[in-house]
Amino acid sequence: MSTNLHPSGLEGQIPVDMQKKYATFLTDDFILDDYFVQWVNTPDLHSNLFWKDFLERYPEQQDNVLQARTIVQNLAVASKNGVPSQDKTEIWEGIVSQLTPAPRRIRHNAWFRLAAAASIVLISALVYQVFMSPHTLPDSSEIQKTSATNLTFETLANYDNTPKEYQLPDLSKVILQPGGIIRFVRNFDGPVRELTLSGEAFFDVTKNPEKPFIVKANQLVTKVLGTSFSVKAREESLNITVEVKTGKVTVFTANKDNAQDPETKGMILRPNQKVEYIKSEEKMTRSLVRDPEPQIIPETLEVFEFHEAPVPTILEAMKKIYQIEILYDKEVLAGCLLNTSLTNETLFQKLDVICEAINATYKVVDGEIIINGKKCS
Amino acid sequence: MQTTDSQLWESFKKGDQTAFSLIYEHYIDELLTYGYRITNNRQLIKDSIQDLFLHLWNSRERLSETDSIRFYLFRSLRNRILRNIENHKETHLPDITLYPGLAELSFEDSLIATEQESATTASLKKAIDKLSRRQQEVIQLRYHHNFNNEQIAEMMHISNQSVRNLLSRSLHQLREYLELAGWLLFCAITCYW
Repeated sequence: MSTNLHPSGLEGQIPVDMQKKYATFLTDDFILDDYFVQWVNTPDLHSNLFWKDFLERYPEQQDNVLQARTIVQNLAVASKNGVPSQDKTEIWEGIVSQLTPAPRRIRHNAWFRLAAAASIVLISALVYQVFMSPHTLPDSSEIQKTSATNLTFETLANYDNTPKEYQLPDLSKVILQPGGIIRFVRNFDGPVRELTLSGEAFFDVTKNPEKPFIVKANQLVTKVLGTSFSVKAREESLNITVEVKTGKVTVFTANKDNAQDPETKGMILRPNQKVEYIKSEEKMTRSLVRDPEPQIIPETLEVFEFHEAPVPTILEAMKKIYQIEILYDKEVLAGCLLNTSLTNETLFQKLDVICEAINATYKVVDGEIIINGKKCS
Repeated sequence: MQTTDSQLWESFKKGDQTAFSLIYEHYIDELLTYGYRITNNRQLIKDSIQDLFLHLWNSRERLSETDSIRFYLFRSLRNRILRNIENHKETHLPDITLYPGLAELSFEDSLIATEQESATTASLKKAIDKLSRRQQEVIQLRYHHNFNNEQIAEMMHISNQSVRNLLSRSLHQLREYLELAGWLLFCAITCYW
């Protein structure tokens, strides 16, 4: 789709003439300008540099540019209309039913019809590979290289309206939410894999015990060996959240002045736990994620359907599935018998059901679940 | 994307059915979105898209090299829909509002969509719906589908200047509608994130 809208001679040079043209633009002029809209919709290294430099030169245009950018972004979203979801499949079925295959493929006729019908299901996976692959490797256009000391940094920034997935040099994956920016030493040179994050991101980290993976977000540091977790650290929000999906991480505040290892004052987070760091109070609170995910598939347990089973047996199975600590008095609950299956429903739904049945209550304390109940008669 | 695009096109022209289904899968959402901007007639949109892809497959060997399947598909879909609307007029097909089922369906769909949007987007959406069909179309092509003025001009068979004028007038009108609705500025709330 790229027509020759890029100003020429961009290898490090900013076309000053072109910037002059924009110096007198009003908001609407920007909204109607091809090069501007292209930058807002599909920013790349060139246009980012161009507009950053432009605003440095003409700071009085900041309001117009930001306003125009927001309007273009809003228009992009608002001009999209709803589409009946079944159209996509119905049209494809219509196409396939009328297809005349290539003459030399006539003998595959029936096979192709079948395959075409089946492909609807398979396609999404394929499409992902073929079309998304440019994104999994950081698009060169989105990588900004800046030299500081003798290390080269790379920056990944998501200016789109949708989350984007990138692959990091160590093959770890990161899904960057809109507005998210991460920065790291090129190729992760050095003893640790360290990156700084602004915004929200999910990480799926490859195992490498020799080279810990460290995410710094404002004052908060998250250190992992191999795991998946997400960090929400928007500049403007008052707290930072780290949520662990699998594996284990330690979270601690960045060292300020004392020489002591800051990690020793941190917190260990297990799967399905999260920590919230309130910036103003410099305080960390551990709890559970909103909807804990099973760490193992219930069906792989010896028993996952329970008939007249003691509640402690059920709770032990749940502990295994979610890898969450559940504290309760075994002797008290041993006499409570229940029928249940662990395959459906979320963790909290199950807890609600169990607690209601045995007239108990539960609460989440410091990332663990405590159940208070009485003896069943 | 550029290389993927042309490689895919090459394979497709050689009769590769996977490439064909990939092309369909990759562009169908955008094409449907665009189709429903041009007309509300669901059957007409579905027929037009189906014809477009059947035509694409049946004439694949005669199709030229193209550096943008996307542009080609959008332009062809537009021509097809407009042609079909003309034909439908002659045969006096009932208007879409006579199909209550569809009206409900689209409405539900847009309701779900609106819930996830900010208040700004929602009111902007309402304002866009008040524009003429052509204005709605040009706004979507420019800002949602990200075609540049020149491409839109070619698609809509008008001059570059007309595209610009159409866009400019739409912006003015949107501002007016939003001011009427109590939104002082276009982006009163989210202007500064």
